[in-house]
Amino acid sequence: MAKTIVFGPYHSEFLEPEVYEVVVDGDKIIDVKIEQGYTHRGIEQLASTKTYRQGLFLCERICGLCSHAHSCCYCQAVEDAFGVEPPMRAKYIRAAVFELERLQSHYIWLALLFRALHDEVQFARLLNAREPLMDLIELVCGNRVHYSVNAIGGVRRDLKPATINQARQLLDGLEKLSAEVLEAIKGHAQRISGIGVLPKERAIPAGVVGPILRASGIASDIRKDDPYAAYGEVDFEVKVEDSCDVLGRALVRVKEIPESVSIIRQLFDRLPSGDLRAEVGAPREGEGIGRVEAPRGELIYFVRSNGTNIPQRVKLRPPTYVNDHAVVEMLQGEKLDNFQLVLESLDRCLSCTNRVSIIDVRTGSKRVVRVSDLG
Amino acid sequence: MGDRMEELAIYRLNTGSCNGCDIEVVGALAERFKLSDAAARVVGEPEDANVLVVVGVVTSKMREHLKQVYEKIKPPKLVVAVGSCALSSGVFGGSYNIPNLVDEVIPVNAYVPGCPPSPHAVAAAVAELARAKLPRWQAPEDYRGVPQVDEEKCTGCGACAQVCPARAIDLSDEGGKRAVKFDYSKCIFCAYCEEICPDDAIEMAARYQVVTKNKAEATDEAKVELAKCAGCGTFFVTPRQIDSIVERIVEDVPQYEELQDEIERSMGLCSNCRDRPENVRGAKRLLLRLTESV
Repeated sequence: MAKTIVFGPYHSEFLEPEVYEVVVDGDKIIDVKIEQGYTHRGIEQLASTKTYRQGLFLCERICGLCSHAHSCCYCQAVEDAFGVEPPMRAKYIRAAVFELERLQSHYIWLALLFRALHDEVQFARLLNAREPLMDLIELVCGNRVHYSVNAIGGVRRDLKPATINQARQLLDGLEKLSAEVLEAIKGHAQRISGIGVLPKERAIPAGVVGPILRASGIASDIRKDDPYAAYGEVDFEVKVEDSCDVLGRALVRVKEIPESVSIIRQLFDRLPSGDLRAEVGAPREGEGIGRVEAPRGELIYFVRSNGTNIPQRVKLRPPTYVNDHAVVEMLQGEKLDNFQLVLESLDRCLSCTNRVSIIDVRTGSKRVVRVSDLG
Repeated sequence: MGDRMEELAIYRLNTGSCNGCDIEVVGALAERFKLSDAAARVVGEPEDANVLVVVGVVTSKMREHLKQVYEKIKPPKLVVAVGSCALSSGVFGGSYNIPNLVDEVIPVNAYVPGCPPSPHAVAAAVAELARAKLPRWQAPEDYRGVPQVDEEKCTGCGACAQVCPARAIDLSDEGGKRAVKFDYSKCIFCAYCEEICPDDAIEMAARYQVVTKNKAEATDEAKVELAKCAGCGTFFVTPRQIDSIVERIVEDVPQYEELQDEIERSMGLCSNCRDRPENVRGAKRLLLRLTESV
């Protein structure tokens, strides 16, 4: 007999509100229905009421974990629409902050994974170990979460030599820590291998991006595939795992940590001198697209300008929007015990993902519409 | 807030946050913030908690859930609103999906401004609830804390109020003075005002924000003398603003220095008086002389 268990909207293991209706037969999951919209803030509509510069701070506040990814991507889309090229030093600083963000995001995810595995020792250890990194981010950006480093046409804050020296020392420690975390994950390998499987041939049709896609054996990384900021000038490897499961996703992220550290070192070594910001000039008509590899995968922004100082349309496609739906496929046939671990493996970040759904009252069917359709 | 509490069991509810405050509340569990000294811990179920920490704007879908969770919290049922979104909707103010603020749905005991407030501020708020003493933390020199306005330098031009993404800065004229008011409960600490201010009158204070029990107290204000219009006598502009603009004009085009008095005179007229025929003629003459002089 099939039964439905409802998780959410608030739940001790969820960081953000969302509802999962899990249909089970015994302890086997048959189907999962996802209900979103609990954190829908109407951002795309708000973005077309604010000036380009104000919109930057709005988009940055879409997500507290991919803050720099959002602001960077928004800036790239606007710069594309206006035909502006940021100076090289600005591109290096953008990339360096990007990798610092990836490091803190991966660390908090690893901490939460250990919590889901009931390994409180590792959870506390990673939480404490993340603090020096947060101090560094605070030093570089002026805030731990919303960096506000970007400006259209460049960056607002410079990297000071003293900060770079301090960062270098910290990076050595982070590299060492990642090796230890890798061992800690291997200690849990038995528990997390073979669960939440998304086979390679299903990964692309499911539309997943980022570490989930890379853990299903596909080397896809916007930093490599379509280099932005200063990524074209540094060497790094795209980490891929073939196991297609929760373990694979953990390994991809933990192995990305030394890569990020190495990218930051290279950026510091080659940091060019020069201006921080290019002249943008008056707004003009045009359309632009930005793509970045956020810690959770590919993030896309589209901006249309009608020549005024307020964008006509800002549209975004965040990574969790596509990853979250793939959880249904990962969970079908899975044991209920593994529900939380599989969810955690996605590194869901729902604040960017919540859309308005329109329900047809006659048929009860749902569809997702764009804010612009609401007229 | 009553007697010292034996133990604080904190429940965090995300009612539409960006994750930022969530992470900082979780981050406050790190050893260095010494929450255990305040006998505080974070619990997973609202039924086990006596303190509710609300983060994020209240979306229409979460409003009823917020009420439900509040009902489940044990006495003394303290509520702390954390972050600009929970205090005032912050940069999301005006959205069609945010009908209420937290304190319009449930009673709030303490407010922590910030976007997001650092764990230092979260820990300080919790310690205050527990009446426990925690160390004082020093923010780094370039920290983006609350915007502080220097009354000596502010000209009341309103550039900051115009660009503020969260509409946290308000300009009001009363009794011959212009008040520029910064509302920290709305501020998103982006430092756009600091960047845009033509007179360098705004600086982001390098200190972690503090907890407040009254939202209306979390403000900073500069009051600047207004001048009367030379034509009709209504207050409309601050003499400092005229000085500041003229100074910049002359700095950009040194040839205009001899016309400085006349530029100042034409700026001393309010927009109504500028439209009068004799003043339009005067402005035209000045414009011609300005073009001739360069």
